[in-house]
Amino acid sequence: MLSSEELAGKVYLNLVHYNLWCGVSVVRCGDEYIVKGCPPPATDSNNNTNSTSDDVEYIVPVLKTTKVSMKVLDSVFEAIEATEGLKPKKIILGIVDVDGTVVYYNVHDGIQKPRQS
Amino acid sequence: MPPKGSSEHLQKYVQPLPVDIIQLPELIPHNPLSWVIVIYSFLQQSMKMKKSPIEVRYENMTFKVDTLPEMKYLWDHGFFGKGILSRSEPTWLDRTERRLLKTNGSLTSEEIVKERRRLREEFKTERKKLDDLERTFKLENNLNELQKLESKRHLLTEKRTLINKTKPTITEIESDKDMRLEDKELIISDTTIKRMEYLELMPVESLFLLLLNSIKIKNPETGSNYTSVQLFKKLATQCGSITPDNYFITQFLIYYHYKSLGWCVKSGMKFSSDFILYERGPPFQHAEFAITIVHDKQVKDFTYYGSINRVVGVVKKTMVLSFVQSPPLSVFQESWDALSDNKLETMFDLLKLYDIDEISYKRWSPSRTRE
Amino acid sequence: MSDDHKHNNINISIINNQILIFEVDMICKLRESYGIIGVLSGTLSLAPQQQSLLGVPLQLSIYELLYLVDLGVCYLNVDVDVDVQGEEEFVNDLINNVKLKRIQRLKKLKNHGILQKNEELEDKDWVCNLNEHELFIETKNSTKQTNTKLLSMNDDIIQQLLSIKGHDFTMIRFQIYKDLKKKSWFIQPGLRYGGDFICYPNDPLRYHSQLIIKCCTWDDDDDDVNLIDLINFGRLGTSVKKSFVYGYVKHDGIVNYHTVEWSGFG
Repeated sequence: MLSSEELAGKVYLNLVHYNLWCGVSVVRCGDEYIVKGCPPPATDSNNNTNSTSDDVEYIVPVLKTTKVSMKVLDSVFEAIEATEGLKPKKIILGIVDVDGTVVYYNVHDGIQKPRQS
Repeated sequence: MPPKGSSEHLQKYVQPLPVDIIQLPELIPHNPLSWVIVIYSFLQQSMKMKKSPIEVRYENMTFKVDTLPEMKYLWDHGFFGKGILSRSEPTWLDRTERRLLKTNGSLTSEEIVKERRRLREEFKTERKKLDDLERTFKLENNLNELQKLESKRHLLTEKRTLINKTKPTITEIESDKDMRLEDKELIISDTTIKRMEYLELMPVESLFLLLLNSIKIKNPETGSNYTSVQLFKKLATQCGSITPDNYFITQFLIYYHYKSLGWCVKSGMKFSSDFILYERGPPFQHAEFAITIVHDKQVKDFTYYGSINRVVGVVKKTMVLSFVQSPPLSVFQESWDALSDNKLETMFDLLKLYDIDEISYKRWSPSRTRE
Repeated sequence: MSDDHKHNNINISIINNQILIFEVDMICKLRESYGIIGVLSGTLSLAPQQQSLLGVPLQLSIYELLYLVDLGVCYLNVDVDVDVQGEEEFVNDLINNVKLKRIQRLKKLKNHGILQKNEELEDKDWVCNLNEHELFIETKNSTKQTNTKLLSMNDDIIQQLLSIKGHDFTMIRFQIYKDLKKKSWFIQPGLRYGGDFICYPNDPLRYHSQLIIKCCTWDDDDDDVNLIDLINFGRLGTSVKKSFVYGYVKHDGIVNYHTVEWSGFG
């Protein structure tokens, strides 16, 4: 078990009030507390919102001192599939530090070519 | 927010610790006037002193400070804690008031970072457009257009280099047109919003501040305040088994070591390190060193240190390895068992069993560093 | 064995537990037919005092060798004899060169007027001048190997190589290597980037690498990923513009991957 209710609460707060996500809720997928929500729409230079971000993302809250194995990551994918009906292409690890900082890292299922930067 | 290192900061952040000290002017014993000055100064400073230690709530393994003046006090006197809805200094209230209630105020670092990220995304879309145009021109073999494109590309790269220095003016930050439901729920009145942000202290910071008597923490189980030794034992036990390599004990050891040398110590997780050291504090200059703690029995290969060094190097810090030599289990166990809730020296006796050694790690390339 | 079939065979030498290929044609064949690049590890005689450009022999990693052995196309050079014909050619070359030098010396002396047009070169004139005894002989790029032996996984020499500490062999890495080859990636060692392999979408001479692969177990407790390390890899990948990928093998033998990257917010 990676996450806990308290940790999920911290990530929830961070997503809603710091990263300004919408429609955020904490759901129980198997053993884990997963935070699901939609990122804010990306705005371009004219401040027009691109409505491309209607996709729901799944954030897994974890403490930075936790150790994860590939098996555990796979089980999270499967747990979300079982609860939500759809296997996500990627999950986001919300890694929580001892001072309350949360850093977010994507974990894609399979090989993902690098983004052009 | 004034730029890093400005004199405004020097005046604002005078005291390095949340400890009130009384500085008396020089006393000239045979001069009665001097006595008057000294006594007046003493009384005046005593009145201004913080009356009691700050209350820190400890729930769900988190150390929280909720009240705004106390949050500011701990931050201003030594940069302790982190606003959980901010990058470091708790500025969420100001930013959100500006965003939802359209109030004014000086720009915070979070808003600057947001603007810079937006500009970088913009740069990427512009560059992609140029790339697509370039491809079509190359296929058409249109040399004229390709030349024009080159100059456009130059301008674009120039713009890119300026992004890191951009400081948006207040008018550039436009608030959202359609307010989210979550934001609407925050608004209480035209001038106030709900307070969602608190200051969170690292466990090592909490123990340190408790040692200074700047804070008090209530034990939720017993109802009375923790003593330093009690908190030390609780945090160590929570982290795992009580062995010389206990995570909390080594973390506190290193934290205390650098704190007592005068550094401002913050968490280094973002740079895959244990701590980062600021010479004066975050508002002054970027951190200089990234500390990675190495236990004496730890065996890691070269690539492990190389990859941390690489990440730390990209953010222009120097990697430092702090080697912790732990005492043998029997000695440690003896000292642990001797810990007494009301005797502070027993805790320091335990910590004194350890040895710390540090080395700075820098990559040397023979082909590059030739004189 | 038909000529076609023979065309795809790769001959290697194992010297001092290192897997080496000395023949340039073989190196090209390896690259074109099997997408194996290897690492050149010999000093380039044209520019000996630098390390950025190296020459033959090509060194293969243990995984590249096993891949070839698995396919049944790997032949080990045994009892390497220098071709007798080659030796004869070499001696003839030497003799011809001496004759040529002698004629050249004679011509030079006559041109300078030291010798008269009809005079012949005396032995003492010829022998004394050591400088002019430099001889240039062309050596072959490849020798014709006469004895080769088909390698298989159970051979002693393979088993011995697998246990060499310097090769750091694990079966998991080999399984992931094979899977990546199946997906048409070109694979090189990834030590420089903190990983096990780096992968190119095609020939490394034409493309930048895109992936850094780190191999780990499915559920071995000792191998559990520390999240600080994950953050490290995510940041590393971003700074060198590559994806950081964890490769693993499930209990049923299927290879799968997890790619890690910074989410871009927070």
